[in-house]
Amino acid sequence: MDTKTTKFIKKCQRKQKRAQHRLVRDLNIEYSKEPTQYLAICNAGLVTGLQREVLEQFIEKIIPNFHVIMPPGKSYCFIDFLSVDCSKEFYDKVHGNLKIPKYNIHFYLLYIKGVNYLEDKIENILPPGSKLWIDFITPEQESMLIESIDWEEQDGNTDSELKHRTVKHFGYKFQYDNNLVDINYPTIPIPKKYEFLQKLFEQHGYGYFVYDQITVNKYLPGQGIPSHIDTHSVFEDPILSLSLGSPYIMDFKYGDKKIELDLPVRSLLVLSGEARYAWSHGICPRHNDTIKTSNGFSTRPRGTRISFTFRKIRKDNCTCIFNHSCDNKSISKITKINNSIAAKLEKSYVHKVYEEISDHFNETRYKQWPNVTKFIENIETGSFLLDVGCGNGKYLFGHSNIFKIGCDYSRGLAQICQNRGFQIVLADSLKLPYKSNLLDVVLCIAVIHHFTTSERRKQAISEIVRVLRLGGHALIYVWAKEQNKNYVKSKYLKCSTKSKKDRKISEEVHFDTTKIKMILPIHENRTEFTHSDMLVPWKHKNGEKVLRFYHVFEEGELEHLCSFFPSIRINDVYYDQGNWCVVLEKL
Amino acid sequence: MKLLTHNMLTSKCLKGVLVGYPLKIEVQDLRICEVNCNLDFLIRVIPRIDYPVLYTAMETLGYANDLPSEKPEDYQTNEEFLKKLHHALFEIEIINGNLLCPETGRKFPINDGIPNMLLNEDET
Repeated sequence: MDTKTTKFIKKCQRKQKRAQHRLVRDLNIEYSKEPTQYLAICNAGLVTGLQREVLEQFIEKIIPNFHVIMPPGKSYCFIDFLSVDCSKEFYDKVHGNLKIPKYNIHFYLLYIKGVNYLEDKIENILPPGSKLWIDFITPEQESMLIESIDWEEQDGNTDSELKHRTVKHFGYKFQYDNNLVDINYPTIPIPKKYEFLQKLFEQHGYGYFVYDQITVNKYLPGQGIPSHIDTHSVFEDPILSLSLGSPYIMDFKYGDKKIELDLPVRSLLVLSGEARYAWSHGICPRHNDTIKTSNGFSTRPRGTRISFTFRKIRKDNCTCIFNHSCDNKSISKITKINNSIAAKLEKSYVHKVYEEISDHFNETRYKQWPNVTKFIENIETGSFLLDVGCGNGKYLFGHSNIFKIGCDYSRGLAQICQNRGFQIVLADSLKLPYKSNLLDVVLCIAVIHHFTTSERRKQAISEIVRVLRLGGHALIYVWAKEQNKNYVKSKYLKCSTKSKKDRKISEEVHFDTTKIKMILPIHENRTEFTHSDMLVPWKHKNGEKVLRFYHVFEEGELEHLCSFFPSIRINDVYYDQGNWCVVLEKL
Repeated sequence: MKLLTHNMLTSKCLKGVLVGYPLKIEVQDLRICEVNCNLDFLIRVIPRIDYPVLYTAMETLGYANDLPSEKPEDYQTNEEFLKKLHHALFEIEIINGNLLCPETGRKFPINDGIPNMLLNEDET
């Protein structure tokens, strides 16, 4: 066998091995050594943008009768053939060999024991308090509204700061740096040609206010808006949003409840009550939406979406009952602090703490997380691996066929690594001291959640991307806000020794610098997270407590951060014991 | 710090520094520690390293005779060379000394085998 063939076989086996592990973990689907009538396509699915129609046409040319099953949010999918002979014929022709037209990759296939995954029936349910009016305006009115906006015009109300979508404001300008509106500085008044909409709102029972602020958003395919709740203290209830141009899926979240809502063109979405105050909404930046068709899930390519959002500026304080998300009642989210203050916060609440706890940390954090170990075991011989924020070096241990190096900010932890004989450098993950395009694999486990601002979290990812070689892979783990997923408690919650009654009311730490006053809540360990940014106590053996800063990630947030880097592809996203995890590949 | 690690490090993270590679070495103590040789692994590593940078590092440490100045063409099969290379990459550990930015001369101390590449706030 020549080396090219050996290499090819090894590549196929690696792809299959990765998929075997993924399928068991995600859906409890086992692979089969012997051919079966079921095949998994290991490296293409709804999340990689594969369209059901395209796939079906491709299979049909080889084997006429089959059924395709595409689980939403996954990078793989399944084919159910009529017999083992059919699936074997397909496997032999396609596996690592044939490319699908317009979709320039080889398919890697795997026999599986069965497909127990049933395609869920997702109804278009709405978050409580919201309403969706279909065909709220006519196609003529839609065209008029779309044509009324001149995106090229530099009139001071176009927001050039937002790289991921284009925005215009009427009435008042929304300030994205602090999520507020300055009512002393009105911008261009609302044009007369939009007045018919106010009348339409009145006819539908929303005439209580004259809406005095309009935000017009333009989304191109691949663009989106981060999940957010409109600032309570700034806008009244309800908020009205008109969708034009192209249908998009909007994602709603509240605690562990999640709703995907398909917004048809010319529809009006009304957010009121719980939907306005407690549910966050956003649009995931992608080129296709997963939608339900008569024969299962498929993808729908996105076009250009224009939305008109109508709001009424609030004059009094917000009186809602949703205290968690109300800025009139607490300050618990770090909205905008400058880099130097962010660095100071991290110095006090991350770097200093790890120096203090390094020995105790080393005694308690020795076990590798199984899914990280499995990831390392699949790495090719001769690879270079960097563990960013390697702590006591628990992933630098073992696997003599790859060269592993680590870096960490803590001297205490670096010393522990050195004593264990690992290659360690003291370095900042925001400024990695390594050559660009060098490493085959980068691990970054439980590190990025210690950065206090989204800019800094993004910078950490950008450094990982920089040092990766083309085709190199990174595995990132961050702590998840959701610790209670699909009704299964994470290990972090399971270890709780307290009953609900004993829990104290949460404390707060007031962080004061000359420029800024900030209040950060202190999290009660082994309970669910109620905030995104907080201090988490570390208990010393002597009972003394020190506080570490954490930003816990909501579902989709890590992918959103990664989506800012066009040179990477997200190969896998999963939830592992209270953490959100992504596998990235540099392209 | 092994010389393979040195082969990867830069001071590009410093403000105003364009390449920051290779870092100069000032050595106070070093240690030789025996490491098992994995040939399959070593052969795959060779195309990935910057050989002239490794050779210069060996020269600085006073081991210029322990490595040819140029990589031999038959490096995959040349056992004598592979042994030397294994020694250079994996068995020499710099314990105390400094790494120097080639453009600014900024010193990064190596203490107890750990290079300190942390920067001050005004350096980034």
